[in-house]
Amino acid sequence: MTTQTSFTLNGKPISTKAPLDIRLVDVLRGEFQLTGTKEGCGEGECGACMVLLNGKPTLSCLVLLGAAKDKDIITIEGLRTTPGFAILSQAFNDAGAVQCGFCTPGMIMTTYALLRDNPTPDDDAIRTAMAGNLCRCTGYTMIVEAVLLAAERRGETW
Amino acid sequence: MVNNHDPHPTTAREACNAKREGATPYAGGTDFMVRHAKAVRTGQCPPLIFLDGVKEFHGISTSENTVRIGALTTMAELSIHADIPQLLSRACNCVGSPALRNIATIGGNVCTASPAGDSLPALYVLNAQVEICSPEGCRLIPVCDFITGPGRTALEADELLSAVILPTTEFNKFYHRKVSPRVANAITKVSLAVAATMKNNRVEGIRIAYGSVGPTIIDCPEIGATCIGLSVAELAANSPELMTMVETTVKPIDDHRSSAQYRRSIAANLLAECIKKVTSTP
Repeated sequence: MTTQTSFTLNGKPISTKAPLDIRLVDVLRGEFQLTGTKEGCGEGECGACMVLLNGKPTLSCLVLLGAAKDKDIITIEGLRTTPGFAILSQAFNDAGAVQCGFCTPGMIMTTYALLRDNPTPDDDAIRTAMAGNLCRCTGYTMIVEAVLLAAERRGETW
Repeated sequence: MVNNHDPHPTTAREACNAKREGATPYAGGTDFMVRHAKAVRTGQCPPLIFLDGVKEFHGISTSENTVRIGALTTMAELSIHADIPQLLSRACNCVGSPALRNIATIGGNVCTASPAGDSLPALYVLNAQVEICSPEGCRLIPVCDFITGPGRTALEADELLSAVILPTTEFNKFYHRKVSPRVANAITKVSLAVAATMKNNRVEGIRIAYGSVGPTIIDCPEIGATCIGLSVAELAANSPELMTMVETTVKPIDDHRSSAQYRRSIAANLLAECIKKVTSTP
């Protein structure tokens, strides 16, 4: 199933000749060298591979390239150049929400979308939104604190 | 099988023809990717049709007597849409995690036909029908007839599920609960969906359906019939008897997620909780 697939990646229109039946996470990490998107479980349980697909948090290990056709995809590298990223990154640092760091890109993607849609989430709303992002180091409390901190600091940044 | 189909069809007819030639339909992909993980890893996927471009499969439209839910409507959309009965919204909001719900579709949940499919007990009690399309046209059948066994449906080789149709409902009381080891990303051990019409403090109509306690959804018409005509007080008084009926109606199995005995007692307890809620709220 080789054909040309076009989509928008981190704001730029791109196209690839990769087969339609390979996973988006593999295209991002392999062909485009965007290795900030991690693969954890490979079956949609852990959230390490989170990207934004048409603005919505999406598990890139559960999406085939064929389903990404004409979509708008943002990875952690795409967020990096935005002012929002500095705030998120600092908040995660300040709250001690990063240990091994493997889950962090996914956590940041989910947090970005959460705060965009709900600028002042409470503890419950944060835990609900982050329910699909697993962390095996921090125990989550610090991650929830990081999100609250980012909410406090973000102003109208995104 | 030779396939010359366009992997991105834009009409239902095109998609059905490709399926007849042997292509596998891909909607949200959340079940497909897990079930075919090995094939995906080794590049051995069957020929696929990505259904996203088929307009007829998208959107929620409300008419006087029905709500038509396009098969590609996501669980996230169903969780918040104003025209979707609260019972179905809540059931769809129990699927996986938020990011999974952003791509998982109602059509996929129905066609996967898992006894643990989270939208299914709600669809059964709301008397949902499914709209099935083929190159020749469309047909409608009740969802309970569409699902013929675990993982099996009434779909023919050239057919695709195009929509779920909900009749406008007169039910005014709903109950839904999913029991699973954690709230997110957990397969249901037992679930119960109930819709009832209460008038003058009496049960005028009721539908009860269980998930994950049998090869398909367990519809409970006998238990429903026993409830009809009962006052709120009588319903509460009959709770132990109704729980016994649940224990004999459900057909759970022992597996790595739960024992049959656990599922049977939880199923009965859920109905007791439902009765308590219905009888304690005005």
